[in-house]
Amino acid sequence: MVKRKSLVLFLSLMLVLSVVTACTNKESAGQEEGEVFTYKFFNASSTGKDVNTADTKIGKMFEEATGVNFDIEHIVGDSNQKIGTMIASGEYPELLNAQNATNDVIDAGGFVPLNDLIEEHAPNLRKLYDPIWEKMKLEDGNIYILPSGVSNGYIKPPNVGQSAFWIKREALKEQGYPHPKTIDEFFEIVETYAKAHPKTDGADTIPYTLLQYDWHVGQLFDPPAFLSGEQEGIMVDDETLEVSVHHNQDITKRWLKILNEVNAKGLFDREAFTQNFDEYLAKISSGRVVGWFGPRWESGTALDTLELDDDPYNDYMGFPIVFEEGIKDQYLNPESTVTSPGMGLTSGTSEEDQVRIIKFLDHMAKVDSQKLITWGIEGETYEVNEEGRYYRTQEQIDLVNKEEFRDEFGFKALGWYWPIMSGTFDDGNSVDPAVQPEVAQLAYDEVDKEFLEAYNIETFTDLFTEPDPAPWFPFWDAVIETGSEAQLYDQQSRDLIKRSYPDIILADPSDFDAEWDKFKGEFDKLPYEAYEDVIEASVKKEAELMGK
Amino acid sequence: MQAQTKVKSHTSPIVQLNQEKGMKSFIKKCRSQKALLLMTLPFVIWVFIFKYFPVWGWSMAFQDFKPARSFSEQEWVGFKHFIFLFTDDRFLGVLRNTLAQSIINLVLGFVTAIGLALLINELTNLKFKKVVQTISYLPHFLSWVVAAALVSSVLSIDGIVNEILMGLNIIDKEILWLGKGEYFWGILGASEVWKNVGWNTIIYLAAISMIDQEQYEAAKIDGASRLQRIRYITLPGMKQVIVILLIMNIGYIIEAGFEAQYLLGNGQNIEFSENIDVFVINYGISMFNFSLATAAGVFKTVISLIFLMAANSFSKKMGQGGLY
Amino acid sequence: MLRVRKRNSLMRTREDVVFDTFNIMFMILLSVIMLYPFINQIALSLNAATDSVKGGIYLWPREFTWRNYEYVFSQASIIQAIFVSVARTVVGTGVGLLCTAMVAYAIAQEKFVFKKSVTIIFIMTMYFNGGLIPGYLLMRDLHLIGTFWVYILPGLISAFNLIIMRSFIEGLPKSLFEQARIDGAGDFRVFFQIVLPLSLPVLATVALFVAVGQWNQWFDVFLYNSSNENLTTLQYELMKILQNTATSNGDWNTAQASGERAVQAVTPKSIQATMTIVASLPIICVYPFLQKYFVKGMTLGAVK
Repeated sequence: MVKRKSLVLFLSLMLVLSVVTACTNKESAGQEEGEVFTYKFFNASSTGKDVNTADTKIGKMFEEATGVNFDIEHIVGDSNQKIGTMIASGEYPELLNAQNATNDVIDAGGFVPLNDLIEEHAPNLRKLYDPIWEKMKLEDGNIYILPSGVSNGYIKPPNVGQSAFWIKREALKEQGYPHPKTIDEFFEIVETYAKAHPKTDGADTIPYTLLQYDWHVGQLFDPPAFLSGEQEGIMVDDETLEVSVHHNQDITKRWLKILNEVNAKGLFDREAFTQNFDEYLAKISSGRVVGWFGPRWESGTALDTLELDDDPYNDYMGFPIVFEEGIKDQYLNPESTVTSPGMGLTSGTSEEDQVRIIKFLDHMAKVDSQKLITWGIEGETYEVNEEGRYYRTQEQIDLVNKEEFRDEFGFKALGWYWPIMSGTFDDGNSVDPAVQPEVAQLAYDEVDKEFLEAYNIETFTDLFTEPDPAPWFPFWDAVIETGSEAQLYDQQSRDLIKRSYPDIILADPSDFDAEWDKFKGEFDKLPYEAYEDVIEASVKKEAELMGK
Repeated sequence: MQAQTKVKSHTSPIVQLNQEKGMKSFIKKCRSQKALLLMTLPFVIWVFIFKYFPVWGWSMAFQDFKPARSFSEQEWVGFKHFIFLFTDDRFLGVLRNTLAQSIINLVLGFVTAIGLALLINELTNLKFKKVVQTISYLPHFLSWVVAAALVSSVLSIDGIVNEILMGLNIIDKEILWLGKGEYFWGILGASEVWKNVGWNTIIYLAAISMIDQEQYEAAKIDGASRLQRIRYITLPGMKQVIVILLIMNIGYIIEAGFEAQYLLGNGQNIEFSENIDVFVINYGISMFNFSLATAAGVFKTVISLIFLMAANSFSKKMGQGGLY
Repeated sequence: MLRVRKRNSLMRTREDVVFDTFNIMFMILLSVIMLYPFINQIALSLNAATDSVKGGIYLWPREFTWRNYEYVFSQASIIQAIFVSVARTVVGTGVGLLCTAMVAYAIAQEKFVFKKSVTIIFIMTMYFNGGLIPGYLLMRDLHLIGTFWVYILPGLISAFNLIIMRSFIEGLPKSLFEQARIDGAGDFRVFFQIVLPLSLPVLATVALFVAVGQWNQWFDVFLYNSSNENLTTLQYELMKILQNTATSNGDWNTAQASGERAVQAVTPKSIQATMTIVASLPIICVYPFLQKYFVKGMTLGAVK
């Protein structure tokens, strides 16, 4: 017994020694190998594979031009906890994207002001951020964060990527390609189809469902606003720029009443409020759901699955539904830039390192580099026609969609989260290839074309009205102070709505008014005015900065 | 043996003499127990460094802690966070949920684990016994994310539970189990049992294996039945372990866990599912509010210690010995 | 005499048969309930990810593929991570077990001067926690961040295991100790040569608890060693892979803003299933290995 124990101890000692020696060999950050400098970029906004930029094709090209590469580490787990430890110890990686904790890092003096650095060493970066330069400045006049997606010209996406009311294509086809504009028309189509097809592939058809699990609350909260012609889940008066929440207003009561009636007819998914995200996705990808509301990206996993399968009619088509005719739909996102979170340069980085890093970012900001990280290399991942328009051949599209290729090439490592444009290049081409009409057209298959023809449109967004400009978009970009009443409202309203809406929607129609009044009473007690004030101040400020 | 000395300011010469003798014998005892001291002292130091020292962090509960500022710059707010916790309308409900969930889990956990251990022990075929043991603790290794997803799907409208109940005509319409708050505690209890009963039997089986085999032989010869053997030999042999575990777990009563409640909770059952930890997650960490989380932690510790000491005293009074 | 005994055995046999039959049937039912989730996870891990999204996978894969496992193991850091996980489990268990047993022995001795105080000092630690930030700062000041020892030292002795061990040791027959002491053995000898060999069942139990705890740990890696490729553990790497495949990162702001439309060949659900299998299989196998130490009953004769 004792002998075996000592053997085990001995072996473990060996293991430990080898591990310990292995790890003391590799040091990190700021190390020199000849003339190449390696720095660290910690990204708390995104999960992903940890790589060194120079291991990718694009990253290697940048390294050759600037002598700099980056070890990228992504967040695993809760970002607030991780960033909290950084702040408490005062030790940061050179580049940091701190997600929700960005303001706290700024408060802690974790980020260095970038104004002078950029003005002196980074003319391309200055040019890239010119449209929002003033917007990026904080109260103290300093710029700490470089956000991604600086808008340079509006381009209308050919396909719906954001919110819409979706209907199963088969339902549309069966009913002769109707064009629903109002919410009543929407539910009529749903009801007709559901009655004709009580079962889909052997399982119950689900006429209407919604997702509301964890942080996925948009499908529950937003419809009343969109149905009234708002651009997002809050109400902003076009003239006065006054902001108000909509949850306690009549439009919400109207929306809930509609759902209540839908439920009374047996068309509402009983499990809507108890299902988790995976169960919801399974439902969507099974083709059993006839109609639903939401942004496309949220259900992307399921919708992609549907697109890949053999049945082209169980995909969904999006419509910009409103309460009644005459209301202008504003489902498409206007030109906008989200200013937070973004990446910042942290304190503790030496001045020489700061300059090197800024020069790297400056190199990335050049138009050619931007084209590299969005379109790639001409002849390899895209082509140019005689008019100077960029496009992709079918092979290139297939190549570029492969995950391994994206990793190797560097699209994944050096794209979003770095300084990057959005919208269009000055030559008119779209920054995002997916949105370039030439590329999108190629992706349309037979059935897509069938529907496009039936509705007499060229792209699926032709059904949607172009968005009015809104320099403050998105409203949730406003800074809400930790511990403030506005923040409290945020959490409390979420809790209250999640708790109350099921009761309202699933109630007996005769109880509807009582349930609604009860909810409204409780909602009115929340500090929503404080929240409205904060958002309104932010909206007005943005409008001013952008010269509206 | 000398009694432990108590230091008094005014003592008679005789008592003083005894005191000196007490001190001397204390030192003498220490010397004679050098080995024992050596076995414990390093680890007591360890425990102070790693466990007791960080308790200075409890000061965060009385501040509006912002990681940005150094310790001296923190804003002291007294009991603000505690007041926030206690006066929130939902706090009583949250506390009730926490305690109810814990008590149910405690009772169920003990009864099922002991019962299963006894049954497994009675299996005669050694191979079958080993296989069953191993299989029984498999669910323990599932993360709650996976386990909750399973529970959710089993309880869904087209899940197994509803299918069986409908098939046996016990109900005529499927029940939305996770949509009714009243069912939540039961669902949670059942899920916890399923997930942990096998694992919890391990320690009881270890205890049983320490029981002298000769006792069983003697009992069989005397004609004791199976149930009698369990009652008079096996259970008493486990008694000490059961008592110890019971006391320690009662101390944990405020710690009902949070993953299951968070994952299986939704808008419709939240009145029964939200416990202290879920509440803190919603209002604490996600708002970068370490102070609130710390305050809740302090509160929980106080409750734990109260329960622990009560359980320990009770156990000693009942003659079952205590933890300390 | 013989006849009486025979009748007794007959009566016992009938009752026994009923009991045993029910027991066996119950165990089989139990095994099915316990085993099903695992078989389900295996099936999911071997099923094509895009197909799994549709649901309906129960006992076997519908579209068999190794893709999920390929994906997980193609992440370069996995092999090193397995190595580290094994190392911390073995070392953590060995060292922790020894230290815990020593203290348990000491506080099990009636005569020990500090018996009560040491016991209480340890028991209290079960019910309080200094907090995330103080803990982090402590590790930093002790220079444990970025090392292997941050996995071993902070969790060295769990009060829970300590009390369990103490109970077992207290349950050992006192006569053995007296015998040894009379023979002149000191505490260390008694500990190593008598107590340890006799405590195999509880040592095996606590070893299992500690080992599983070490194996499943990822939070300390997250806090202290996330940047150090050579010291991450299997659980942490798997966590990373899992989160990597989630298309939205719990922050709909960023998801909406970046509008990424990654074409996924693997999905979180499939990766999770694969993770479950890869992470748990090794540690599940430890218990059967330890089962031989749970020998039913010890006869005093062997010890003497």
